[in-house]
Amino acid sequence: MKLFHFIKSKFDAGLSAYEPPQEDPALSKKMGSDLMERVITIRQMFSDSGDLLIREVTISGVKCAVCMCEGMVNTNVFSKMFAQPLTNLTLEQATPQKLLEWVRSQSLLAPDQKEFYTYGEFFRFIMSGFVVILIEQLDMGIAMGIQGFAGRGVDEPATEVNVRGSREGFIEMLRPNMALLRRRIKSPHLIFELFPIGTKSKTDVMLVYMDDVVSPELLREIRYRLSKVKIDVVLETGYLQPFLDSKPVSLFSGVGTTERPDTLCAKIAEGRVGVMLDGTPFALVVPYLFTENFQSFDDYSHRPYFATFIRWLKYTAFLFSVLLPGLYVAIASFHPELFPSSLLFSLVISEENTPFPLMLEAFIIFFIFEMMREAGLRLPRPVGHAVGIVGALVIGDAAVTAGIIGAPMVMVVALTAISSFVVPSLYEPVTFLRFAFILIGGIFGIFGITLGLCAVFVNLCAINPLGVPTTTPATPFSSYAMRDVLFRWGWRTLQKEDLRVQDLKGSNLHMRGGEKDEN
Amino acid sequence: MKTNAISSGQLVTLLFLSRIFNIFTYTPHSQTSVPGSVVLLAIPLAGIIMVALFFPAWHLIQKSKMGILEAAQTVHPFFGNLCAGIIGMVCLLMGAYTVSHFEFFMISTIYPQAESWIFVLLFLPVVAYAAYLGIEAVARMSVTVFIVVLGIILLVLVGLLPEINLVYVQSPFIGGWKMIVIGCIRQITNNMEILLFLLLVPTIRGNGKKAYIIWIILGAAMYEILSFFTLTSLGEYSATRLFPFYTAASVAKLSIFGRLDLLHIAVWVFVAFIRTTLYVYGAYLSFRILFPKVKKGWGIFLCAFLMTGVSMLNSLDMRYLSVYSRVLFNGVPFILVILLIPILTLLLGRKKWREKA
Repeated sequence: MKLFHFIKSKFDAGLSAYEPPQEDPALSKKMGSDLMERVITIRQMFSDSGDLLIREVTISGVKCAVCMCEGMVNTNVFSKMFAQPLTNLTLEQATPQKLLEWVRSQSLLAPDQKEFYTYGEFFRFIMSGFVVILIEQLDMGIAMGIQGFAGRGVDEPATEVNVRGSREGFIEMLRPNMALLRRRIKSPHLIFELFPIGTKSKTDVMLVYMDDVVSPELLREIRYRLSKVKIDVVLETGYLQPFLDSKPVSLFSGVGTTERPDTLCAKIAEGRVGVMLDGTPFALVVPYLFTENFQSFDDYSHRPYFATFIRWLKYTAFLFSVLLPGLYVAIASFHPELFPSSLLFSLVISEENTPFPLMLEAFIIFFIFEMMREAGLRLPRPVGHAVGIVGALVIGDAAVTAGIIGAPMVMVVALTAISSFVVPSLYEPVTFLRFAFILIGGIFGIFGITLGLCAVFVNLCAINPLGVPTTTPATPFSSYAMRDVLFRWGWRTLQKEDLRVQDLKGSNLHMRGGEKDEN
Repeated sequence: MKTNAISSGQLVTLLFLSRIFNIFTYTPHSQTSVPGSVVLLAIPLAGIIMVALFFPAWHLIQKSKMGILEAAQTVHPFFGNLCAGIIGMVCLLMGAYTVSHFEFFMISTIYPQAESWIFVLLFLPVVAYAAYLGIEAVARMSVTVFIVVLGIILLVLVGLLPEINLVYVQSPFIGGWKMIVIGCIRQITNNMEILLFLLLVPTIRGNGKKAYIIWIILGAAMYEILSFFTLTSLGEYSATRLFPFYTAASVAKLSIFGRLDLLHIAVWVFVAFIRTTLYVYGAYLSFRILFPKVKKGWGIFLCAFLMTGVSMLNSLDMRYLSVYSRVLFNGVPFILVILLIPILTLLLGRKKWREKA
């Protein structure tokens, strides 16, 4: 026990030795009223970076500085809505205060206008694509949002392709994504909550929720957990995922991702919270149930019988992709008597000339398969296809002909590989579990596989992301939520009762819009 | 919302799965020393008696509005510690017996050439991990396992249908009333899951009494069905088998599936896992009262470690299994923990319960 405490204290000391970088105190300094001093300070703080543009101009006799970051501003809008009106402006007895009043109340330079007082805010605005005007004698600045940085257009999401429904997917820029959501839910209850994250990057993160259905407890907890993020640079929502996930350590996550605005809208309408980040098209969905991995947007466009069929297909594919190789290895190695005799004879014939035991065969072949998949994923598309063809020829034909692996194993690998792509959101845990089950199936047989299954299952049942068990509504069982799990009922039935995550059995979140939900 | 709370339905599934382990290890003739036909009558009778025997414990829970361990502690700390120690020991031995029996099944039927200790060393860490994750996680898991187990049993029973021969069913009165009474006693004393019910009932939401009755009915019904199928499909041959229901599953044929014993192995592992986890958790709940400063993780780890030690004795010498069986199912532990402790707690704390009321 003492030894454990000693090791733990050393480990904790190592962890606590790291201190996240503190914010530069100069950034929180208030700006002075001297324009020249402000410009010099800004140039010094920005280290005269090449992309900082500061143009000193005189408008109606008042000295001003127009600041922006190169490439971040829409130059067309800037010249038409900003440069021209200001150049043509003639104010009688112009003073800095009068110019400020004109910009505040009479101009339409930009719809998104903000005033600020610190250098920190100045940098945040110009780095977010705002144009900033600094006016002499005024210890403040005015920021105007006329962003126009280069970015990808709204396109079909590559990871969630659907047969029916919208072809729009999120893009890397946050503002257009807000519009994609707002267009789908035209309700004042749809709230976007923006704040910076990352001690250095100050990346914009956005919480999306509907304030009339979300649980305040859930929202509070998400805000609290995100406030604990002390990463220097946050570039992807994956960086935030571990902070939103709950104990125990698991292969499965209680936080989902989506690239589709329609999917996110459906989720937030059920009381969930979306977390979006500037610079990535992937939104996080919290909390996320395990059964949602088997749902796709198409399910709700298809006829119920077909959607149900697809659902079962996915459940079967998931089980196949996790268990099939392990079971094959376990049964063929320890319990061959369980195979029907005709199948057993074919197996024996194909395996008698191979040099490796079945477990090693399975390991080698799946390892090669994963290597090929990874190579195909990272390489340029045409080369990726070539890798696939070479892999298929080497493994599928040459390896069998050379007697390195048996033909049934190729069949098992092919079936497992195809199955694993049916539920792409579970690919990571499935791959890991497949290797684990091959190993324990090859060493301990069916006993090992069943015991492993118990361990994985109890771990899955213990996941409680933000107070909602990930295995609900299957267990704890919520009958009204099961309409969309084993079977997908028709819309006439689904419309009768709305699902709210906080109302699911086993949920610790009881409040809905401040009221106790009696559902 | 209560933390660590499970529903009454989940408790029923947990205890049902735990009890089903007895059914799989049950031998109609040799183990109970009464003919199979007698067992068919003894099962429902034992069910009725078990409802009656539960009355003192239930009365205590109703009066004290707390679990058996807390109630005993309220009566007197020494008495509470003594009761916790006894209950913890029974849980520990029951867990070790389950693991030993499971290990015996594995090496005698599935892996005859394997070293028995491997099963103990593999099984108990996973069980400890499950107990560490908490009763909520295990209860959630049990609902799905319950459905899977019922499905598999149904498959096996359908596969056994062509093998059924009613000629093996004789009159249960063939050995007289004495045999029926012995059968009933064996049925009752084998059902130590009542102890688990008493330990877990404070954590449930819902009607505990109803849950108990449903569990007894479900357990008895499943016992009756499996006994009937085993008896009528194997006949007297079942009396010579170590694990008759496993033999029955091997005999069962269903369409293209040559044999169904693979499913039986899976069910066996599932139920042994749930049962052992419950006993590790029960032992932890009891010993926690004696050592309140020990953290949950360490407490469960120590209980599992002790259980491993006791089970390893059986790995060294298989005769320990019958020793455990004789110690646990001779009726003394049952009377002690299901009847004596609740009655004593009721009597010794009657003033306190009256004040509470």
